Amino acid sequence: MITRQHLDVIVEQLNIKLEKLGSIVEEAMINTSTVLSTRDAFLSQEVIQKDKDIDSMQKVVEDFCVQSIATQQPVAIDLRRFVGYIKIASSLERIADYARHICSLLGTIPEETISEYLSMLLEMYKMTINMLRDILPAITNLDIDTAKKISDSDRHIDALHRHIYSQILLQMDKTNSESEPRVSLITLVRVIERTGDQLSNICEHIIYIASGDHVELDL
Amino acid sequence: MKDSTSQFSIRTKHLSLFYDDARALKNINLSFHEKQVSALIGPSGCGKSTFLRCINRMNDLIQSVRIEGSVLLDDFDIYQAGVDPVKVRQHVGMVFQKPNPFPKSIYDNLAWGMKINGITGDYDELVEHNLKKAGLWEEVKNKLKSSALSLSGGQQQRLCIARAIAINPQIILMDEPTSALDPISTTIIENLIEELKQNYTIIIVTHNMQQAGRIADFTSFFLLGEVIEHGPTSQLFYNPENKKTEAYITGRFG
Repeated sequence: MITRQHLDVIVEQLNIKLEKLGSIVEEAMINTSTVLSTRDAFLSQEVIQKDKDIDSMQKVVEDFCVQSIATQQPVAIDLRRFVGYIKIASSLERIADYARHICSLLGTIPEETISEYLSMLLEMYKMTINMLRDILPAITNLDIDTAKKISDSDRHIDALHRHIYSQILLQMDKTNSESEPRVSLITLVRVIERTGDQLSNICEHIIYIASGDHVELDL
Repeated sequence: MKDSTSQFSIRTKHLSLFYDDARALKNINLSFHEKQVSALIGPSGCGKSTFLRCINRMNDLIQSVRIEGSVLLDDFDIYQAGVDPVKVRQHVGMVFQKPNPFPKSIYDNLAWGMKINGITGDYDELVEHNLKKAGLWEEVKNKLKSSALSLSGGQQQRLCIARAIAINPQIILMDEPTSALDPISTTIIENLIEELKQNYTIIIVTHNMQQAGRIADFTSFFLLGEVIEHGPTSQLFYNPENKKTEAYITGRFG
């Protein structure tokens, strides 16, 4: 078996860079989850500060892909891998933006406004963290079956989103209390739901790389 | 040969070629779209050049060769009894890997080919016309009487293309026409192929897959004398249907 050893080495290097990006995004999410439950202002600042590192790492992955396309002229699955990884890196960076956004929003929502929804919000967000953990190895292995399975979790997240959203609206009608923190809360739920959508997009990118098919998993 | 309304100018049906008992081409059924560029790719010895030479009966000269099946030029079988291979080659021109101009003047390279192929008319005009079509006129118009061998490799190859089109073929076969040329000459020839496509059906054998990707509308992948996959170039290089095609084009092969 003759293989393009140099290209294989490059793909291996790319996988390492993407795994690095994945792990710092995962760390940001875990910290965000802690901020959600503890309202730790110091940790919240750390998440917001570290978003810049994630932005830089995304650009490292993207530049590496573009340079590899230029120098290696990959085709077929190799080409789709480089193009797909650019999209995956972009989705991961967006997920980290959402984590930062959640931390910022929490500062504008008083504890009493969020308390009755907190366990559901944590459940939602922990589901997204679990999705990310399962997705990272599925990316490098181009594991279509796992990608399809993971994207199913997004349906539960969407269902929770709809449930919490309607609860908040109901509460707003009843209490007629100050609405601004509740609007922030609605935004926060929405941002968690969007995190799930981005993870679902990554599953679609995995399927695209492996098969060349464009699928819509979050319908 | 009659004008065809078919969208294909060449079709092969159950084409097989044997060198003595060894079967070098196995039941090739391919159709080539009119006025499109088709590339044949595959590893050395896969039969792509042998196949190309079947289309203008260049294999007839090899003693041990036996051919089965048919090659239809429009709807005319060029292997049927009584067909003169020289007449076939007036319809199917060929350009080789190594430029092979006659050791004559630039002018005579075109004029002589036209004369022996019975093309009549004002040769000065025809020479100019065909050199222009091959993108060589501006470079040689003041030295038409110079030896063709004084030209650079890229210019010689364009002269060979001019000589091929001077006898008004419908089809031009090219066997690795740029593999002996530098990148600039290669680009000039590739641009020329793109222009020639307006008037000719072009089939090109190339080892350079990026070249196939750049210039060919359709690509066929040959392996061990068989066509493994044939289809639109963009499809074949983006998402090939056959695992063997994918292994070859991605360089994972064995």
